Amino acid sequence: MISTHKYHATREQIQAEEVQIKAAIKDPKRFATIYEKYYLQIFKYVYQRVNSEEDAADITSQVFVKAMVNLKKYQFRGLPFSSWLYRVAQNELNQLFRKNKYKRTINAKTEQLHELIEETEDDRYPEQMQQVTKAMRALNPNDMELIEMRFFEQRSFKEIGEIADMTENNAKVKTFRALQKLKRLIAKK
Amino acid sequence: METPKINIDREELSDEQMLKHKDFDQVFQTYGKVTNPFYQSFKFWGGLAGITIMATIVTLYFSNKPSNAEVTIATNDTSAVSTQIALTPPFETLDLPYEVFVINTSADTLLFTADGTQLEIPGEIFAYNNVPVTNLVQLKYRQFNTPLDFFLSNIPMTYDSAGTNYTFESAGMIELLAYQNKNKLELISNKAIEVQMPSPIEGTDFNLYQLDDQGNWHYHPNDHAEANNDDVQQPVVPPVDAPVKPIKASGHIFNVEFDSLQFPELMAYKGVFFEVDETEQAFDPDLYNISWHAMELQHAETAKHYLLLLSRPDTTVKLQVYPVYEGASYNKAMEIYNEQYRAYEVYQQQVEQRSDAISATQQHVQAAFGNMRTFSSTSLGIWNFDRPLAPKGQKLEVQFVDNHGNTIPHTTIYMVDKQRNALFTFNDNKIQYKPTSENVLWIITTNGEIAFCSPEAFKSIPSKSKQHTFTMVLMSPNMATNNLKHLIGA
Repeated sequence: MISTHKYHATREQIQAEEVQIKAAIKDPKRFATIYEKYYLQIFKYVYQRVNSEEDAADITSQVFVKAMVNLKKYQFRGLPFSSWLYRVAQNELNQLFRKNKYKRTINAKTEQLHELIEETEDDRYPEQMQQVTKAMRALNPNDMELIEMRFFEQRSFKEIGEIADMTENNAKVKTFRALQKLKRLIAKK
Repeated sequence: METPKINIDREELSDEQMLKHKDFDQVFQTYGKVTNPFYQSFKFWGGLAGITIMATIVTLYFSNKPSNAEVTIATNDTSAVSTQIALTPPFETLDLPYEVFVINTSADTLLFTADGTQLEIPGEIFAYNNVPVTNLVQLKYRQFNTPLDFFLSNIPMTYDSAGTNYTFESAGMIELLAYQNKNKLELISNKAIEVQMPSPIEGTDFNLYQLDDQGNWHYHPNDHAEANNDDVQQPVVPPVDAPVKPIKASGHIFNVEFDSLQFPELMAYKGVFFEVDETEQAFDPDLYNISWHAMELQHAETAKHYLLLLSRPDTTVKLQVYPVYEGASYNKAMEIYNEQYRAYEVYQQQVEQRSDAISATQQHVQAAFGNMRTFSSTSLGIWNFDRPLAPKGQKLEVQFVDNHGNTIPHTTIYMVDKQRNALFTFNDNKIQYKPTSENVLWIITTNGEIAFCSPEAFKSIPSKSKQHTFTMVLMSPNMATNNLKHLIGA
């Protein structure tokens, strides 16, 4: 049996990362270290939101190109560089979805949906699985993103906050509100 | 935006499947296209800069042609170029051998080579694909001292500047390469190996150059190239642990994402899982059913173990784990382990031989006329203390025949002026030589033999002669090389 998860960066790691970023700004070839380090994380993030492996590969490449182009604008704020990369990925995905270049896909496991139903305090599951998926489709993209990060990617509120550029507490509150909206949408269906 | 599609229980992708799409070169190329439209491109500005530089060089050249000692060859910065060239020696069996060391890169090392060069190697200086490596690294070193060494290793020793073909006279040249698990390593950008090498000739007008992978020399104006006669130091050999043998997964395992920068010892391995050491603690399988908010890997006190921290806001569980592998990943891990173990054995042998190395070093230092040259090697590859020699002397169109008068087909002509530590090369059967010097000349025939003539052959050339036919001695490369050594005095 296998369990998987991400880790958070320590202060020392974040500081070491700042050195790598500065080197990559001076010499873009040095971005290879950052690419090597975060490729899998970003690929997984993208793959979670698109339909196919090929789409995820193409978009992940585009995300890293965008990151290299915009690296000079990156401001070190003591957060792991991954949170900035996630935001680059988020913006890129939103742009591509808006232009209908790729199909926005929500990928979830049955047990994750059950967990979500439990959180919405809807006692009619598992019959109501279809209502939940319909309700998810009707959620606005920002709320869906929070639900997705929390329940389908099992991210901590700290990490959600870093990716969505908000405080940990704010991430908690907004995710709770997104859940409430989902609950109301399920009730309507 | 369209309504999202929902996939329930989509088949999961393995890390390997995802990683097969990884291609930084492609990303870098796309980045180049995005950031460099043609008018902003390297080619455009490089071309423009090239024209400007050439114009400047031509102006300077005609206004004030420099003497040999004053020539500083305009070269590029090596920080952005690859410096590890694959040389093609003319005779593979006669190529200069490397001295091979295994060093523990997690600590500072002071090494002495058999020819007396001192290498001060800071810890954690090597990287593979820009990721620092730890533990044992194989270091390959060789020094090129004589024109025959330059010939046998086929190092390009000429430089064309403003239409003049200069030949480098060398005051010592070395090659340094490093490997781990058969991968070629690089140096980390802000670190350097301090080199102190015995020099075959004296003189203060030598500059430091490095060869790039295209065979071009790059001038290092800020490096010090002076003689140094400090006392020989004691070698520093840091102790090293034996590599840890890979273990097959057999118990409760976790798949943990870890940062190669923090755990470089695991970088070479693929498909690493972490198994709970149940000899030390009982494992509760219910821990698998908890949705952990974070999973963090830390180093433990022993090289074999790691600590795995599973945490939620209300609790943290600490597990003692060790890396394990399954199936093909295990076989690959064993291959890497065997390679590392061989390196470890060599390292242990070297530790025992270090005291002999000190006395050898002292002898070499004395033999080198007390003349040591020092520099900071900021990247691996070939480094050379040189001064460029402009072509001088009598010009001659030459032909080569054997002792039956038959013409010998050949390509390049090699010549050594015994007053210079340089290898002159000529094409098109035209040479230039100093009649007052002792010269040794040879060619490689199209049959793969070496044909050579002694300094005596030059003495019979009339002073104003424009053409000359040399009668050559033909020998196998091995025998000819021994004769050339004797003739050159190398």
